[in-house]
Amino acid sequence: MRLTVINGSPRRGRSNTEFLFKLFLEGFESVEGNSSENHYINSKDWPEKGVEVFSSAECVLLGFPLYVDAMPSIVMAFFERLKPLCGRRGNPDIMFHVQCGFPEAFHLRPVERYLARLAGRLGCRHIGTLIKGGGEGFRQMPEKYTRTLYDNYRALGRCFGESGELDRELLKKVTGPERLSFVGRLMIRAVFAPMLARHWNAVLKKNGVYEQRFARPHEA
Amino acid sequence: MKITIFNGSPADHGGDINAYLERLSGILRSPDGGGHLVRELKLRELNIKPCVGCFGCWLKTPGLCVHNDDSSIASDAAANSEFLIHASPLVMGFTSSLLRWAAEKTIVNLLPYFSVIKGEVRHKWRYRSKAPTIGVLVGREGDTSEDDLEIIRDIYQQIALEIQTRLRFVLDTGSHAQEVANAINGN
Repeated sequence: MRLTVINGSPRRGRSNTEFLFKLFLEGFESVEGNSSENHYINSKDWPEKGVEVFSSAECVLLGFPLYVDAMPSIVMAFFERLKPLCGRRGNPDIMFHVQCGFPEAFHLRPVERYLARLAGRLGCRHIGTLIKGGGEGFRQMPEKYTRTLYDNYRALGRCFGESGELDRELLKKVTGPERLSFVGRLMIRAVFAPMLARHWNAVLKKNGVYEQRFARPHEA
Repeated sequence: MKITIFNGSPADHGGDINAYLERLSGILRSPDGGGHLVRELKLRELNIKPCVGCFGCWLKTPGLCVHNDDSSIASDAAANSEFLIHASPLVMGFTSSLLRWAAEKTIVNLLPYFSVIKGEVRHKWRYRSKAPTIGVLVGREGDTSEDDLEIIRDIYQQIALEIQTRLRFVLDTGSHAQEVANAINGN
């Protein structure tokens, strides 16, 4: 199978989406006969070129980070361009990947429902949507905390490469918790939020703007 | 009350939302409609650069986008309004990419730190005054269903929670402009 990978992250090759795609593709391409090609929505010739890429694809994996609770504007601009392809015969099968920095998966559920409707509008077979909470900062974690996650991405890719379907059990594992438990919230408050704050503050200091971190430039 | 309308219609013509917003603004400015201070921002006329996820607005120029575009016009309007209307025709089942641009740029009005608010992880609003209440006004497509509107409502509900405010309504331009004005006035 030839998989057309469309990365909708404005950060392109440096993105968390790209990193997770690579793991998925490692698994996918370990199955003989499978190959992939990569495209970035944040490119000079998009979204126009996207229509051509999309309409000639056999199977599409389209991913993006959650930007203020939905798709980034460049991804929406691409979706708008696909309108003439609605209901066209020969549209590709499609699956989506959406991740967000928040640890809970519930932030991603409304956009997941939107994407299922989008696939229906286009008349694409919707293979599924992989949603992933905690999608920011995981690359800075020690390997022992991320090994299982990375292995699950590879296994998902391999499974898809063999069957053309996303394994539901693996999907659940990758997605993470829907909402945080009492203990989870405590961990965020006591451990993760302060750790993130230390990280941001170090960067703010390096940039010489730590004192301005709470600036309110639009306040009259 | 200070009301800002983000007009996310991609075109001056072809679509009745521009004329609709003029009628709505007229009602809201009139003494009977509340005598509000209404500002309409036609997003298509602004110099727009999409958010690239650089976090510069949190870590380099706190509260302002580092890219040279008109996003500070939109973030200023969001920080200094009590009601914010997101308006656009629907395309492919969602509000326009122009409105997405305005929404993604509200990240400048948030703080980078994680907070647990009502049991959910959020970024706190940067300003002392509350974020504006949100209303969404859409022009239906030929195939718009109640499911589509429900999804739009849920996404904007999340956006409202994200900035610690409330979503007042999602209405379409099939509703009378007076009805939308009443919803804004809380009647």
